[in-house]
Amino acid sequence: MVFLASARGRIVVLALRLVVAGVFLAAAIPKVLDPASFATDIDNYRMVPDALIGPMSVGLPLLEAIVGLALLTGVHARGAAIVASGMLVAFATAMVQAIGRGIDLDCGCFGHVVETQVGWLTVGRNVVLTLSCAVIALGPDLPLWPIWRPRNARPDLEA
Amino acid sequence: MLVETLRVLVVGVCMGAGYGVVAGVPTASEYRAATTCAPPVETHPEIGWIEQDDALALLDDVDVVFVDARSAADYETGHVPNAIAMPMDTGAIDESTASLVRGARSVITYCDTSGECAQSRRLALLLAEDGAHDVRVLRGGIPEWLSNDYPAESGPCRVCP
Repeated sequence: MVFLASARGRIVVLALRLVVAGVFLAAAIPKVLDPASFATDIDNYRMVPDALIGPMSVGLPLLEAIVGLALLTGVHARGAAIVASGMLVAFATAMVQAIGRGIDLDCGCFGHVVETQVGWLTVGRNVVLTLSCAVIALGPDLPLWPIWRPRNARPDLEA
Repeated sequence: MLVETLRVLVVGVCMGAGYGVVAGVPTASEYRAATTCAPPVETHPEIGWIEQDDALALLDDVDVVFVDARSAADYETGHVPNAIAMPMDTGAIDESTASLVRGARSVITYCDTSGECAQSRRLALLLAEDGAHDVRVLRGGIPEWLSNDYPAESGPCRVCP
């Protein structure tokens, strides 16, 4: 916590935030443009009732996009990091159950732009991103710019 | 921070709901039709699906080769008779095994799940790029084959190098 409040720590937090934001935006855009393909991906996990697949295929990408934008701009970034970590844990759980049931499928993580088979590598990637989100949530509330000063810092008290 | 989290959630869910109302929500027939009609490998439209009964009709044809994309352990548990094991665990094909299918008139790949079976589609792509002729992906994979009570055998691959 002390390190995260230091100048280096702030740079680390901001860098992680931009990386996670980039991942979420890159994941959201293809799905927003092609919800039917994303619905197919959700269906292939065989864990979501039919009635929820359609709404999820439209809602999840928008939520990913909002989370990505919040992390990018720094507006409610720590709250977005918590939402992101919840989503990542849910996605990782879906992958683990697919692996456990022997379902061989594309993860659908980035729509059909990048096809990646579900496996322990994709689960591990989600774990790393979840840990990054935890660091962001525990770190200082930083605007995108300037990176060296917390948003709530008072210059008159820093001297 | 809880308030921030709730705000992000509410905005995201509301925007998702709004987008769903404006753009519409995919129905089951739409997203399952996409799976059914789309070629197994979008970049290679010459690779097509083959239905279970059509594949069964080719089972005794010596010029048609079935190729199993699953792991060696899954193959040994049960596979299409005389199928060649070409596990896609590494994402690459074994050169000496691939040479067995180059002379075949048709090659049929399959794996363990129906629908979007990634391993059999990836194997089909690699074999087509390797020069195999008339490569198809078995729709429904081995689960549907077994549920149809079509012929199957167990044990290691006898013809594999």
